Formats: sequence, structure tokens, C-alpha cells
Amino acid sequence: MGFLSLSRIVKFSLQNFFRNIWLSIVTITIIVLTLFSVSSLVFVNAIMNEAITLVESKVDVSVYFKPTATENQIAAVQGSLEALPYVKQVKHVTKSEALAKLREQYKDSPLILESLKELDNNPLGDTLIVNTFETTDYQKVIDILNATPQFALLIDNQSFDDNSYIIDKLQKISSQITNIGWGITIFFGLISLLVIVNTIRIAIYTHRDEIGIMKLVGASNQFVRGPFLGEAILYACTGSFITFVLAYTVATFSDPYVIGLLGQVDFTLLGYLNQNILYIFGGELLGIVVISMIATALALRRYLKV
Amino acid sequence: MVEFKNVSKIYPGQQTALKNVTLMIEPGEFVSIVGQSGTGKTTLVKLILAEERPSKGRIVIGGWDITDIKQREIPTLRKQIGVVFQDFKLLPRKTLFENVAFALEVGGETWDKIQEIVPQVLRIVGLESKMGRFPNQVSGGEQQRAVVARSLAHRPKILVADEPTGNLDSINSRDIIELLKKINDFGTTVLLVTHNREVVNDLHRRVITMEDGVVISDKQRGKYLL
Repeated sequence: MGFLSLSRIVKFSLQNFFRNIWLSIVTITIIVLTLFSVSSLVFVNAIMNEAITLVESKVDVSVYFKPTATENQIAAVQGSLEALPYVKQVKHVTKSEALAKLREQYKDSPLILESLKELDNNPLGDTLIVNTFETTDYQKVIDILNATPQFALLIDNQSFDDNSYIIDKLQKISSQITNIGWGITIFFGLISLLVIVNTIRIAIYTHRDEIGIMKLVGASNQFVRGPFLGEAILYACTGSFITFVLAYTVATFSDPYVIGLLGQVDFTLLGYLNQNILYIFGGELLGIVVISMIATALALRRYLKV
Repeated sequence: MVEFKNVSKIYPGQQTALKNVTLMIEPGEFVSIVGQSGTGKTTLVKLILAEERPSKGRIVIGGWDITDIKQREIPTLRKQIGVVFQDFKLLPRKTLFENVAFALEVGGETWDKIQEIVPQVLRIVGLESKMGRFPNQVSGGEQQRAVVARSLAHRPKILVADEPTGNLDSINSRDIIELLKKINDFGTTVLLVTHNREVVNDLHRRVITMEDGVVISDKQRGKYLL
């Protein structure tokens, strides 16, 4: 295709876009609604993932030792746990730290503080707080502690069971949310595809006579197709740009609510958008341009047979 | 210039539009093809424009046998033929200037040449002052004159006018026929398909009469027989 043809195709695309402004507005509105639905889904997924990560970070396995357990014995258990590849960190809380924490926690309860004063010795044992990379690995830690007799003798037991129940529940919820998210994304994707394809088919249908006239005055298929494809690209780019602005606005206004929901975490929708701008908007733009062009080419095919 | 050799056109469902039509139109001729509705006149036009393919026989346009013309060759053929239709067929989203220019743009004409030719042809058809208007902003007669201007723009060897006066009043019809005569005087072969008795009888040119897909009469300086 020569430069002259290309420049004419660009000129005709722009002319068609602006001279049929209402059809352009309707098509762009459909594209914006579709893309914004997809962006909203991306936002919801991001917030969900952050919420799950947040809850997961709060989950740990606390190993309470008997007061008789020595420093060396506790260090041996800590070393063994730290050597496991799926363990992120093991924090040692000494019995004196535990007592100080208890006193701090109940500083407003004179009865408890008096009772602690009555005791000659610190009644609390040392604690190891274990965090793993994945929540699925907590059960492995628990299993190892249970299956190793020399560890079981030192541990003042039973705090694992409650955690394992929470971890199990959390894993189930997390995997279900992921599955539902994927299901909704695929469902929305298919609906979007149908809506966009049909909108473009209707737009081309309204111009079927025009296509016939162009062919009768000697225009090649490429020359007829060009401006329509150009128009489709303009619809897609304008729709993507409006969605981009809209998504940024929504993210900016939603962030205070997101922070309210998740608490003081290192996550904002705006930050998430900035980090993933190429994936989210690049992907949406590419997807919508490809869909629009394919839909246009397919819709045009039947009217080009003149 | 236009040659039909034993051409038949049978549409699906065994509907015969043309039966063994043989005719020869010489360069520079002005030929009227007449007949009642459904006699195959429009099929004849469609075959010339390669909108349809013949079921039998051969068609030669300007020495080019287009019987088995390839899809990609059709634009080249159409650039050599000017076409005027009953329903005008102007591009609604383009001004009259742009409609005429479009016929040149598809042929790859430069912008400078377009700026030179388009006002010229619009002046010939008397629309120079309305070139910036859209088709829906001018009358039917003016639309048809714009179509004639478009068909002239790329200086075609043949001009095919399919019922060009069908949607026009008698004054506008006469204007269009005068334009076609003027174009023919410049040397362009004109093929006028019509069932307007008055127009044909006033022309005093060659008349081919069709009935049921068959040529029943072909006379130089003929009259409308039916």
C-alpha cells in the first residue's frame, strides 16, 4: 500500500468518525462500558488478593514451650524449623518477653497484675512464632512438630489445632475466591466480545450501501476496508483512553475506602494501577483493537462481494 | 468497445435473465437499451460491471475478455467505466466535491490533479457552486448531475447509465440526457438503459430492444417499439 493510499485511508477514517459522530459515540460508549467492567473486575481481584495476603500474614503457628525447656533445646527446634525451605521466619519470644507482654496487655486489670506478683516464678514458657511462605505449608510445620518425639516432649501442646482449622478454612476461601474471579472474568470476557462484535456489525450494516457504491466506482477491497478498520481502531483507542481516565479517577476516589477496608497496609488502587499500567491498559487496548479489527473485517466481508 | 457473444445468464432457481444475447457496441456510439421491467436490461449492466458473471457466452470490454475476470481485476475494469444509477448512489457522508474526488482517489490520482479535475467536471454539470454540500442538501436532479460528474471524473471510455431519469421530473430528465449527449460528443461511448419512451424517441440514436432476456430489435436511429 502506497503512502498516498495510506494517507487517504487515514483521512477517510477520521472523516467517517467525526461525520457519523452519534454512531461513533454509541460504539465508544459500549467499548468504555465493557472495558470499565473488565477494569473493575481487575480492581476487585486486586483488593481481594491484598485482603487474602493481609489475612495470611496474620496467620502463624505459635509453638509454646514448657517452662522447663532450656534455651539450647528451644534453639535446636528453631534451627530445625528455619532449615525448612518453606519457612519464612521463626521468631523467638522468651518467657520474660512473654510476661512483659502479658503485663502490658493487662495493665488496666489490677487483679491480674496482683496475681502475677503473687507468683514467685514466671509461669509462662518460651514461644516460637513460625511464618511460612504459603498457608498450605503450615500443616507441614505442624506435622513435623507432632511427628518428632523430642520436639513433642518440649512443647506445651495443642495450640496448633486451632490454627490448622483457620488455615484450612482460609485456603478454601482463597481458592474459591480465585476460582469465582476467573469464572467472572471469563464470563465478562465472552459477553464483552459479543457486545463489541455486534456493535461493530451494526455499525458496518448501516454503511452497507456505501460499501457497494465504493466498489462500483472502482475501489479495491483494501481501499474500502481501510477506512472502516481505521474507524474501528479510533473507536478502540478513544474507548481505551476514556476507560483509562475513568479508572484513574475511580481509583483516586476509592483509595480512602480501600484503606478503610484493609487498614494501614502498603496498598492503594492508584499504586496498583501505576505498577500494572502496561498490563491492564496495554492489554485492554491491544485486546479491544484486535477484537474490533477482526469484527470489522468479518462484518465487511459479506458486503464486499459486489 | 462492448461485445456480448451468445451471453446467457441463469440465476439460481433456473430463472433466465438473458438468453443468447449477441451485440456489438462500437467506440463513440450512443446506444439506448430499452425494454419493460424484468427483461434483463439491468442484468446486462451488471455483467458489464462484472457484478455478475455470465452463465454462458463471452463478454469483451475494450478488447478485454472479462468473462472469467478475477476478483482483484474488477476495480481496474470499473475504473474504465463510468456508471450512473437511477437511485444516484452518492456517498452520504461525503460532500459533492468529495464524492467526485473519491472516484479519482481510488485510482490513485494526486491531490493536485484532483483539485484541478473535480471543479472542472462539477462546472460541466452546473454544480460548481454547490460542491461543498452533502447529497441530502441538494435536489434529486442535482444529485444525479453529481453522479454524472463522478462518472466523468476519471475520463472513462464507456459510460453506463442505468435508468438515470427514473427518479427525475421531465426538466431534470432532459438536463441529464443533454449531459449524456455532451459526454458522447467528447467521444465517450454511452450506454443508456431506460424505459422512458420520450427520451429514447427524442435521441434519434441506436436503440436495442429487449424482451424476456432476448434482443428482439437492434436499429440505428431507432424508436421505442414496445
